Amino acid sequence: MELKQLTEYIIKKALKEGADQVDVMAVKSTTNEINVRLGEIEKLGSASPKRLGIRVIKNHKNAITSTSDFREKSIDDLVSKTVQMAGFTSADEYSGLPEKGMQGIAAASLNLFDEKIPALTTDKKIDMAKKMEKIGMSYDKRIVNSDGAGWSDSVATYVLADSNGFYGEQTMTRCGLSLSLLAEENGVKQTDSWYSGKRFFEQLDSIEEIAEMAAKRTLRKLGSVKPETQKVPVVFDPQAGEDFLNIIASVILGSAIYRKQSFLLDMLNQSVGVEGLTIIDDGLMKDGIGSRLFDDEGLPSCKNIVIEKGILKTWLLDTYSGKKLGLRSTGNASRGVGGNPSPSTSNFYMEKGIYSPDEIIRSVKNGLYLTSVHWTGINYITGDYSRGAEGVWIKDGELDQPVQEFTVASNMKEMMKNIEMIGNDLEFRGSVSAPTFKIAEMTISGK
Amino acid sequence: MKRRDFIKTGGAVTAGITTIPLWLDNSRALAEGVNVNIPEVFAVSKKEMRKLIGVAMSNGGDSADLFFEYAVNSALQMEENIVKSASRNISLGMGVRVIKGDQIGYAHTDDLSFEKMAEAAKTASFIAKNKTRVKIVDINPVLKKDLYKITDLSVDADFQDKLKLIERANKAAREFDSKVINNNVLYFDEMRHLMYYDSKGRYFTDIQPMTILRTYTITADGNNRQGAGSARAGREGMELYHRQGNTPEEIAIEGATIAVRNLQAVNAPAGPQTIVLGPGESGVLLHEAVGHGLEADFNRKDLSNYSGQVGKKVASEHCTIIDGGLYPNLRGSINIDDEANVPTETVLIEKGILKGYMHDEISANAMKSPLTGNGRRQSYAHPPMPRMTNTYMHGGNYTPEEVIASVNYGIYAKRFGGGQVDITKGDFTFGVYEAYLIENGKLTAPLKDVTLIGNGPEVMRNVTMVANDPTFSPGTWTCGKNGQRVPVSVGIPTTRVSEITVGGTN
Repeated sequence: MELKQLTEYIIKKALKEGADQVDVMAVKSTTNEINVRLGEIEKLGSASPKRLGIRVIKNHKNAITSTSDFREKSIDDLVSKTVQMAGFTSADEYSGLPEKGMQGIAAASLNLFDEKIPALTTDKKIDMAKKMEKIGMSYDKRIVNSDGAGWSDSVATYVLADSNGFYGEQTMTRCGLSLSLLAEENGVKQTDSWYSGKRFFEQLDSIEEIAEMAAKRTLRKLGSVKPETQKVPVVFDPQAGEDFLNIIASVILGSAIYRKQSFLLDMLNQSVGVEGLTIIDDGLMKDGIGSRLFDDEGLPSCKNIVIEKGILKTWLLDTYSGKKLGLRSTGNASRGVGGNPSPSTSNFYMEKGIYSPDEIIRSVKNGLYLTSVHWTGINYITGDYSRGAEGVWIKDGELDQPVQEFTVASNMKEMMKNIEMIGNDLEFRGSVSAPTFKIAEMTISGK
Repeated sequence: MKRRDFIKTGGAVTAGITTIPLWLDNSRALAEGVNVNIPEVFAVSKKEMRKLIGVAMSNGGDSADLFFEYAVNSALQMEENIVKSASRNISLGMGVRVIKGDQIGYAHTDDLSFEKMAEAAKTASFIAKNKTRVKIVDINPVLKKDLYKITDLSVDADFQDKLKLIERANKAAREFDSKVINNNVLYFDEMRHLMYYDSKGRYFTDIQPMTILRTYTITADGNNRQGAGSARAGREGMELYHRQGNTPEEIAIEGATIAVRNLQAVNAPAGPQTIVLGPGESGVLLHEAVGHGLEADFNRKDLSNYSGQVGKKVASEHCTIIDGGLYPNLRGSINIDDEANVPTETVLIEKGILKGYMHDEISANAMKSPLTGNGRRQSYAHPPMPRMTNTYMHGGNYTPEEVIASVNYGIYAKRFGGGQVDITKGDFTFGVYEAYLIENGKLTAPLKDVTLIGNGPEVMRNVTMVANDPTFSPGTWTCGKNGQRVPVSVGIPTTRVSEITVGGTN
């Protein structure tokens, strides 16, 4: 059965068995993965997985199931089981599908599919990975080892159908190249990596660019020292900035607000950052990694200004969290096939400023250029920030000594109000993007 | 991100672990639990498996294996005093691996028709290119351990029984203190049915159970808010929650106590401090500072800071560190690993001296080392890698009280959200969400969430006292590496480290 017929069949059957509302999400994809290390193929992987999820609402009670087994008998049993499970849970007046009138597919032309990707041969992919690794390895004699070069690609078709009569289908491609290198100097080894991931093959960075970045980032760490404990200005590079934005992305979701798990709770329409801080979520960005025509509840994607000139303007909402907060969905519903919808960002970015990254670095007499943070050490309720970090020390406006094995700490609420300069170097490398920016003061804990 | 291998607990209940399965055609078989006829579940004959191995090795190669998995999980989530969601998820599929030296071809399918499986086998075969005739050995079951004694099967347990657990936990947290403003509870269980066959004729079936009960409590005092949680997990059934220390009330009160106490928390100091690690959860230190660096794939490739260090002193003489998947019912325990080798008790470090690494088949062959039973995979969609199971440190001679009393000024770190390590340089971090100042040998003020950072070998050399209370953390540790997640356990006695950098603001 085609996905469209299958979803129609499931919806009909679930309604017949007593469901008040039902939706079905199905995903079919093809993925390829190649790892090459030291000139040899390390791993060739390939698969065509599929999965569907069934969500049933009955008397305001909710249940969800999913399976990779699409045989008719299995599907029939699962539909019955899902309806039966919905009898077990508690009635929740806010549960349910979106209003029919709110659903639809955005009237935009989004480029999400590249026909070149399925046509690429395995040999071509292997060849690119091998060449890229070779270029990286020969960049500098201090590069002594490789953790491999990788290629990956996927073509995925997403289908969403529900008992309101909504049906949407979108097919998206992705491809990526990555390289991880190891350098050694004075008996100390350092490693780093670089990657490029896009929806279109032609948009990937060249293998030369990726190899050079991977090499430079690895070499930059050689000779790292542990910095002194002190309070200094911190310049976030775009990678560290992406982490900073990811924290904000977690606490402006409707789900975090009604659960009271956000340090920005009660701050709607108030000042949460400096005037230069504008943060946008745009589900309709052309070629965007996070772009889509409709969200996972069938609402058209749109562009939401979350923070405008320092003022928190909106939460990102799905239908449920919207109802809980007395608001309408912002078209940000997202779900795994077997999970309930909850709000999530699409393409989330900080608007660029006017300074060049160089100007920002030059403005710091003694401080940190932060290039990488470890994932632990955020309290989303209080905003307390204490993260393991790596970077380069700034001395008299110049990048000087690489630094490692220290933490950088503050509180997110203070950090957002202490952004001093925002760079003009915004680039959309993934679904969360930031330019370089400077925070006036943070605590470095080192020696 | 590849180098960023990490371990973490589930965090907030609300993080969205709601992907859970059920069997359809075989609900009868499942209800019989551990007695289920696994080959029947997959409906694949032994003859067909031999044929598939033949296809997988049609281009040559050293060996090939088939890994079948049928996983069913279920979850119930309570939030705002109501059960908002019930979920149940099913995964069925198989993976084919062809090994040639240290190269692998891997393909998987969720369609178990012979045609689709043969297609996967053909795809995996492309890694090898020399058409040598390969002998396929007939099926020969391998002996495995029997570590998961389930007396009270959970996946198909009565819904009302699970609901009772959740309600008890929720009630206990809500009634614990008037400062509690919200409480979430997640109940999760899973049964993984596995079947394996390889070109050496080795064959096994296994059923891996898992159960988790987790709470997360939010507290408020004026504008000041905090949140903390607690959890229990293990390879067993509902009986886990009947034992003292693991009842829903005890789990909920543990988390709520921290959430209330942290309302009084003060900023942690910055800079190097003496640390006393509490028993159990602090084992995440070993997982990050030592464990990942001793997984043999990183050493075979000379990527680890422990590469080439066997026989050398890499930690203080107080440290004897073990990894073993063979302790009954622990989250990281396995009857047999995912390439048909039984788990062993692997001494990684003995009195400070590095003794060996944790291996899968590829690394053991390449390094000519004995197998340790550490070849694990997340699912049928993933090839095995050397992974930790239950990693812990032996106890020493001091009492825990003596260790704390020995510190004039320092930090007592008790509960951890997770950690991360750079395997090559050895730098690791771990996040602490329950910690106290130690002043004049006594625990004083609770500290706000803080990150500790250090270099693995340096920190292990700074271990100066180890107490006689070795403990496994009963929590829900999940280890991530190269995009694959597997359940593990960690353990440690109360341990004094003379210096770790503390990421506070004071």
